[in-house]
Amino acid sequence: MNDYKMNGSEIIGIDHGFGNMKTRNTVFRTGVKTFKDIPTFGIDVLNYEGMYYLIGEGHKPFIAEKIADQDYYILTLAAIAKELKIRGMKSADVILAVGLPIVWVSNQREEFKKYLMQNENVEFLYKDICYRIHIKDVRIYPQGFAAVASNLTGFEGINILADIGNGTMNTLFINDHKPQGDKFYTDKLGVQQCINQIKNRLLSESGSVINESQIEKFLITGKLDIKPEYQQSMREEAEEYVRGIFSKLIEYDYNPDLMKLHVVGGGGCLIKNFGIYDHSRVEIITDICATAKGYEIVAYNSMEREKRLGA
Amino acid sequence: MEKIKQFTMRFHMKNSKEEEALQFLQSKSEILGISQNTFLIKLITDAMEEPVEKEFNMDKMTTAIVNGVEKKLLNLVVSMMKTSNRENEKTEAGINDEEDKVGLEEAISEDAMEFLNMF
Repeated sequence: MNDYKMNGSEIIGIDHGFGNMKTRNTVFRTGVKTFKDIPTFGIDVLNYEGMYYLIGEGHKPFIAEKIADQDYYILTLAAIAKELKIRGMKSADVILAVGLPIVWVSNQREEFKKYLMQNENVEFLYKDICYRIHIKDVRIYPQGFAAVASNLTGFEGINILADIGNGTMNTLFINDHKPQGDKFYTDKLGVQQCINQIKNRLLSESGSVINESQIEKFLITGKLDIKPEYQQSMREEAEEYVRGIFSKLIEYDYNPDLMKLHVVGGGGCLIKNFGIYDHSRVEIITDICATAKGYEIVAYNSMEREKRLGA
Repeated sequence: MEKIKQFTMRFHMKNSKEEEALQFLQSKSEILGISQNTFLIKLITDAMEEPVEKEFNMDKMTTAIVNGVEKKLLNLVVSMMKTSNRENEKTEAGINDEEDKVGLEEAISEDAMEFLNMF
């Protein structure tokens, strides 16, 4: 068996990031453009209820509530289609396993679930293939933790898990394999902040407007083919952002000598490329799909447990 | 709790044998509709069942295993009735891509579950 199933339903983990949507096997930009007619350009088109959506186009600004518009719903349908295609299916009963920032889970869970289940039976075209899905359930978990939930054996002693996404940083203490229910935080300290700082710096210094995709490339690889002085400014801003991350962690009692830091999410590459830290005490989990995979594992285990307990 | 160990395989595209090996892995797993992870684990576990020869013959062993594995996997696929239309754009065979699902109910600790139930 390759995929997580429960009573004939496909469990599909989706990480609704502010920068990228992630599933177990796919990553695509969090962007949607809406059209009344078939768009002339672009192949990543989803057709749903008479409207056409170009997936991965445009850029979605940070919003604290993902249910503010239909974009995340359309992106969810695209994510399901991409996963089903990989699983060789066009119709399926589906259980979605998703997440929210750790301090918002309790408050936003019901609304987010309602949003994703706005239609239990959904039919749509994606890349000219018709998908028919029945969304049976939506399971919602705290972001970040899901990525490591099934592998806490490495969390000896005191550990901090920092999930640095595009919009937020979620921090959680895990002491001797046990997540601390009273020590978790969400901060609007995502990578987008760093991107904005770099854009503003270059604009004020040289009047140049740099493309965000170029900045992302620089943050991921640590280099970019532009004038050295521009690159230096970008580096300084990235280093400043990483210092800000560590300052925030220190506010939460992070002490690098006494505890280990584990970083998940896209922000990990910034720590790696621009941070000064003891490599033996910081683990950077580079699998960008780790959280989406984790949602599936957590959902499967939760449901198995409920079955055993007869819930 | 189930312990998962992971490692990544790298295929050097300058080495024709390695390139060929990657193509074989991709095409076979695609045709069979199974993950590259599953395919490789089956390959290894079948190799473990092969009698150990005094003179190790890599080519002979590989051929025998691949033939055997293919047969078993084809049977598996027939029973799964899955289509072979898989979409995998990765260039590295991610052994860590998919966890083995056996014994998953033990994968999450009580502490982790307790924490998740808080929300």
